[in-house]
Amino acid sequence: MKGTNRILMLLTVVSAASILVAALGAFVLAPDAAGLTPDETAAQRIIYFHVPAAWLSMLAFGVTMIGSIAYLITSKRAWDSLAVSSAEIGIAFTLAATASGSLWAKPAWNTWWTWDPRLTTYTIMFLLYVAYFMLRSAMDDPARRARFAAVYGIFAFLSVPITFMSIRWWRTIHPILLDSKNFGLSSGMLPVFFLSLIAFTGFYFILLAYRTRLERMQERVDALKEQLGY
Amino acid sequence: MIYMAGAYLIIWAASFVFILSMLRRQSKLEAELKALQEMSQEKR
Repeated sequence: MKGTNRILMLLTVVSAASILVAALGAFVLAPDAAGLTPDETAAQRIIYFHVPAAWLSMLAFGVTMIGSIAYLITSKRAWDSLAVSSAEIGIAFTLAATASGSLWAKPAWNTWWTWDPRLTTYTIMFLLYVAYFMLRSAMDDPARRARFAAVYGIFAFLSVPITFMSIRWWRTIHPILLDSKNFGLSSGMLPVFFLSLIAFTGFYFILLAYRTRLERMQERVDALKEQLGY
Repeated sequence: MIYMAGAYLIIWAASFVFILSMLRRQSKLEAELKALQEMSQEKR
């Protein structure tokens, strides 16, 4: 256990350092985008945080779905712990992506918020995962809670591909990065963009490790309570 | 640049709040676990 803790601590330091390097890249090293107003140029750099946050929200909900399927197959509580831990991190990144996107939208679209298909489906996705936690909190029996949450977690994930595809299916003002050549970025921007993606993905896995550890501790408390007749 | 700094701050504020809430829950669980373990030993 001590060895695992040490490795996790080391990975945490590496993750923090890589996030700092990514921030340095985003603030200093990445070149300005061409053909934009000064405000838009500064706001464009939000891409180095906004896109990783949005990607991680979807990855986190994907991990929740995998944990949910694995729980229904094996009935092992560890899978439920993984699912709930990842969903919680997903919610945090969803909020971060929404807020940073709104900051970009003001100079780019001249509004903080609009009911664009991407923003609307992303909000629905967020609310579906808030409901995931409401569902969990409504049930006391751990096995029943895990089973219901697993089924819900699988269906809630349907909102993720819909959100991803929304800007391709419906008329939108949201940029479509993945379909553009080099993600619509210049050769100087691309390394910083990928560095940010990698650094934030590492950060997600670190958060997941700490959050699942917390869940395991909760399981021990629950087991002791049951043993003592609480 | 204010938008960029704002977005960066938001990402970090969200992460900070999340990590802080995890630490708070961890210390609460540790205290609860310790109390329960003591009670379990007393019962024996």
